[in-house]
Amino acid sequence: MPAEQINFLFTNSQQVHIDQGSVETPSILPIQKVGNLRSQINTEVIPIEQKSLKTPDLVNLKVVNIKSDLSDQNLDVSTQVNPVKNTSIQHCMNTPNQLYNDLSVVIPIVGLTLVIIGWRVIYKNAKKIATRAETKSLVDDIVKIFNELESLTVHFWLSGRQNRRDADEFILLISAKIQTLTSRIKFLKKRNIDTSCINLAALHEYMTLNCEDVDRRTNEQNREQLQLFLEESNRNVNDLYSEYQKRYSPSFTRFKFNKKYKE
Amino acid sequence: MIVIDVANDFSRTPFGRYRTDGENSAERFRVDILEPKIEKNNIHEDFRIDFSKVALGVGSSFLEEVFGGLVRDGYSKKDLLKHITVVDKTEFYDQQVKHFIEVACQQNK
Repeated sequence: MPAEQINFLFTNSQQVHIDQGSVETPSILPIQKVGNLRSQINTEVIPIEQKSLKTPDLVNLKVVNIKSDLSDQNLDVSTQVNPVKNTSIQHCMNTPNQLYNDLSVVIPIVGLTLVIIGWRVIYKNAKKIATRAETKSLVDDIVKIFNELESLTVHFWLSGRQNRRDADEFILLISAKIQTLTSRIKFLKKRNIDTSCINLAALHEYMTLNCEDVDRRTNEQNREQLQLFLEESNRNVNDLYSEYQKRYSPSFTRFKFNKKYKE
Repeated sequence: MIVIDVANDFSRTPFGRYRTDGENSAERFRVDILEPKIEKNNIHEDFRIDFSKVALGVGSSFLEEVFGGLVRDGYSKKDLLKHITVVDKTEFYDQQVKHFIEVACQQNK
């Protein structure tokens, strides 16, 4: 039977479809030419296993004794397979190993890319959650200062003469709190929360206007001024929380599967 | 631009509305410091009243007496709003002063 030229891509093993008969070492000749290269390469193609074929089957061949500088290249390799009697070689085909070899390069790259994308998504999400928590902490700090201002103001305007602190002390304490409040508001503004809802001018006026005359004013006048302050303070706090909600809307689950939760 | 540094030119601890409230009152600042400077330089010049070096802050009564008092002393609201700027650490005194000038003007009518 005549030898048949087989062309296959140079990899570590190839399969040759043999119709029938057997493929043995003597029937396979060393590689006679390699792709575009003209010089002969010191290689040998041998079957991985000896097989006697009664039905069409695949025989694995492998290339051995490869020159080191070519071992990692894809080369078109030709060889000859001399079948023994009653053997015909149908065709040569690219083996699954070839596909596997291609995929073995592509899959890690795709996998690595997916990992990088995944990590980036996780990082951005974590950063968003941390920013939201920090902003909420600032808002809570501001509300705490508002509460302290309320406490000072209520005590000043409603106390009797004996329990009331001096007006200059009151102004000193209020001014200190307002300076702290101003700096917190500036930080909050940098976090894209609209702080124009906080009216420090009005708050300052209601807290301290005519505080030097508190003992000369009637209780009714003092209560009225305090009421204006408390109203303004509550409005400022509510508006601040609204602005925070606008910036960071709460998220709820769309579907409630838990019946108890529904009830 | 004529700058009046309240801390250096008047007091680091201004307090009170009238002279009876203390020696660093709003009435003394307006009558003895601010109005003479306005008269000397003409109200059509720009004035900057700087509270930023004052210790902590001043009460609303002080601001109302200084700037509302200017309206009550006959200065025009238009000139005051146009030529007077107030500067401080908290950045809301200017807004408060403009409000006091408006209110004093309405009360004067």
